[in-house]
Amino acid sequence: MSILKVDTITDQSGKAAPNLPHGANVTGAVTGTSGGDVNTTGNLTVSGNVGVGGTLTYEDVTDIDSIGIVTARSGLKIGAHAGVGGTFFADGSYNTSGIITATNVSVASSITSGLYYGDGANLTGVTNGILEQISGQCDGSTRTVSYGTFTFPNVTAPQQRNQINSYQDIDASRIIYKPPSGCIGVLVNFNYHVSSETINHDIQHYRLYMRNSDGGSHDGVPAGSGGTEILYGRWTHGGTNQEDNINWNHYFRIRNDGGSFDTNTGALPSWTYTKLIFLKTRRYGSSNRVGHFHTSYYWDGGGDNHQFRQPSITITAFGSPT
Amino acid sequence: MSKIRANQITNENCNGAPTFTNGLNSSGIVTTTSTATTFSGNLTVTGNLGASGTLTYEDVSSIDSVGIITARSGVKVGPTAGVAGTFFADGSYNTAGIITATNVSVASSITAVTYFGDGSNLTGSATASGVLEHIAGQCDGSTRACNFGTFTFPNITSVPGNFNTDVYQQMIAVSYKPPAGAIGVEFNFHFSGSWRGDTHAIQHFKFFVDSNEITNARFNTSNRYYENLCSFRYYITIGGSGNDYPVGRLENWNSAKTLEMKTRAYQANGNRVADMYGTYYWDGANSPQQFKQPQMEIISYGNPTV
Repeated sequence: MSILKVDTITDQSGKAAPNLPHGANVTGAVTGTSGGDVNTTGNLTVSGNVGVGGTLTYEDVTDIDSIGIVTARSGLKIGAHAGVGGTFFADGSYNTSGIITATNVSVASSITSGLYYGDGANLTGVTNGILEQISGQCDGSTRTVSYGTFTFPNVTAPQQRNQINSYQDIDASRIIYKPPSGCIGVLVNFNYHVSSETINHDIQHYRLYMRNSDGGSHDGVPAGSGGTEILYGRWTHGGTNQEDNINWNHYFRIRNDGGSFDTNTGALPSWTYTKLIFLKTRRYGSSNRVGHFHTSYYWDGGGDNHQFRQPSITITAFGSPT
Repeated sequence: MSKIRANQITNENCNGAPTFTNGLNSSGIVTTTSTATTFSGNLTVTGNLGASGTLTYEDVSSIDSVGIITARSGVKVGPTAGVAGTFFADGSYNTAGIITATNVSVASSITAVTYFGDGSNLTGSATASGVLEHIAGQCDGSTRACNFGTFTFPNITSVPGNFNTDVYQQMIAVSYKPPAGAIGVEFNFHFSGSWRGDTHAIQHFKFFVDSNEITNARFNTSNRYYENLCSFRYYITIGGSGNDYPVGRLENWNSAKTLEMKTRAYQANGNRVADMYGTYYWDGANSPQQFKQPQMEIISYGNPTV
C-alpha cells in the first residue's frame, strides 16, 4: 500500500490530464467541476442512480422502462422513422392510420366516421321519424306503449249504424292514446269494411271527434264528454250498392309553437293527457245509407248473407326524422 | 512521459480527493464506490450507458427508442402545466384533444353524445327496420324538419272546384329528397272526392316525378253517385342504370324532386268526380258542401340490416 499525497495531478506538461492506463478506482466521489466534461469511449456503468441536471440526448435506446410517468412535452411518435404509425401531438390529439382497439371508448363530444357498425339500438337521435307505432285488429287486445297500456276496441260482430238519421259512434273507431314525449304528430289509421243493403243510392256521413279521456280540459282541448268535432274530418261515403273497404286516416299535428287547438285540422298545442278519438256516422235517410259496418251484404252469390270482417287500427307517433 | 505508480492518490492532507485541473484520461475502467458521483459538466458516453439503479432526468430533448417504451405508471402528453393527454397504467387514454384514425375498432362499446356519419350499417337502430325516414301530415301547409331540410305539405283548406275539365290539372305538388342510402320512396296521398254533374262519375289521375309521368301509376275513381275516400300509393325505386319513368325507377335521387298528382274529368261538365276533397250530400241534404282535408305520407326505405 502506498499513498501519493498531492492536490493536483496533471500530465507531464502540466497542461493536460494525466493518463490512467489501467483506469481509476475512486472510493470517494468523482466530481466534474464546472466546464469540465467527462468523455468515455467505453460503456458507463452505474450501480447507483444517474441524475442529469442538464439535457440527456441519446438515440437507439433499446427499451425504456419507466416506473414513473413519461412526459412527452412536444408529443410522441410511435413506429419506424420511415413511416410513423401514430403521432401524439402536444395537445393530446392522436393521429394514426392504424387501428385503435379498446374495450370501451368514451367520447365526450362526437365521433365522426364514414360508416358505423354494430348495434345502434341504444343510440338516441337516430330516428326515421317514428317514435312509436302500434297496429292490430280490433280484438280487445292490448299493447304496452310509452304511456302504459293501449287497448284496441273489441269488435267481434257487425254494427248497424243505418237505422236513424242522427249521428252515432262507430264503436270500433274509439281509441284512447297519448304519444311519447318529443312527438310532433300522431297519424290514426282506421281500416274497416262497410256495406249497404238493397239500397240503390247509398249515402253515409262521417264526423271526427276528439276529447280528453277524463273529460277534463287539457292540452288546449276543452272539457266535455261529447268531444270537439274536427271540422276538416267530415266526409260522405256514397255510391250505388256500396260494399267497401275504407282506409280512413287523420293526422293530429302537435304544434309546439304556442298556437291553440285548431278545430279545423285537429292540430293541438300539446298532447300530454290521454285523448279519446272517435268517428260518428249517420245515414243520409232511410232510403240512402251505407251504415252496416264490418260486414258484407252479398256473399258467395247470395244477398243478405253477411260476413263479418274485423276492422283494424294503426297509430303512428312521429318525431322529427332529424 | 512520466508515470506515478501508486495504489491511492488523495489530496495533500489525506482527507479529500485530489483535483485533476486539466481533466483525467483513463484508458481503463473508472470505478467509483461513492454513493454520490456528480458531474457539473457534460457527460458524453460514446458507448452504452447502463444503470442498475434508477435513472432520473428531466428536460430530455427527445427520446427516440428503437425498442419498446414501457411506462409502468403511465404516459403524460403535453406541457407539465396542462397535460393534454394521459395514458394510465391500465392502458386507458384520456385526452381533451382529437383522436383521428382511419379505423377505430372497439370490442365492447363506444359512448358518445353525438354520432355523425352514415349509420346505415348499424344493426338494432331505428333505420335497421329499413325505414330511413317517414313523414306524414294533413295538407295544411305545415312543415317538417327532415334529412334534406324542410318538407312543406301542400296547403289545402277548401274544395278547389277547378277539376271540372277534361284537361289535366295539378292536384298537389311537393318537393322531396330522401336520405342517403335510400333504395326507394313510397308516396301516399289520401283524399276524398264526390260526384257532380252526371251521376256516373269518372275521374282520371296521373302521377309525375319532375314532370315525367309514371304511366304505371295511372288510375280512375268511378261509381254512380261516387263519394268516397281514395288512398293512392306508389313506390319509386332508386337504383339501376338510367331513369325509367314509366315504371317509376330513378337511377339516383340526390337532389330534391317534385312529386306531383294531376287529375281530369272523364268529361267536362259531365262524368266526373270533380269535387275533390268535398262532399255532395251532407246530413240528409245535398248541401252545404263539406270539406275533408287530405293527408300525405312519404316513406324512404333503405336496406334492412336486421
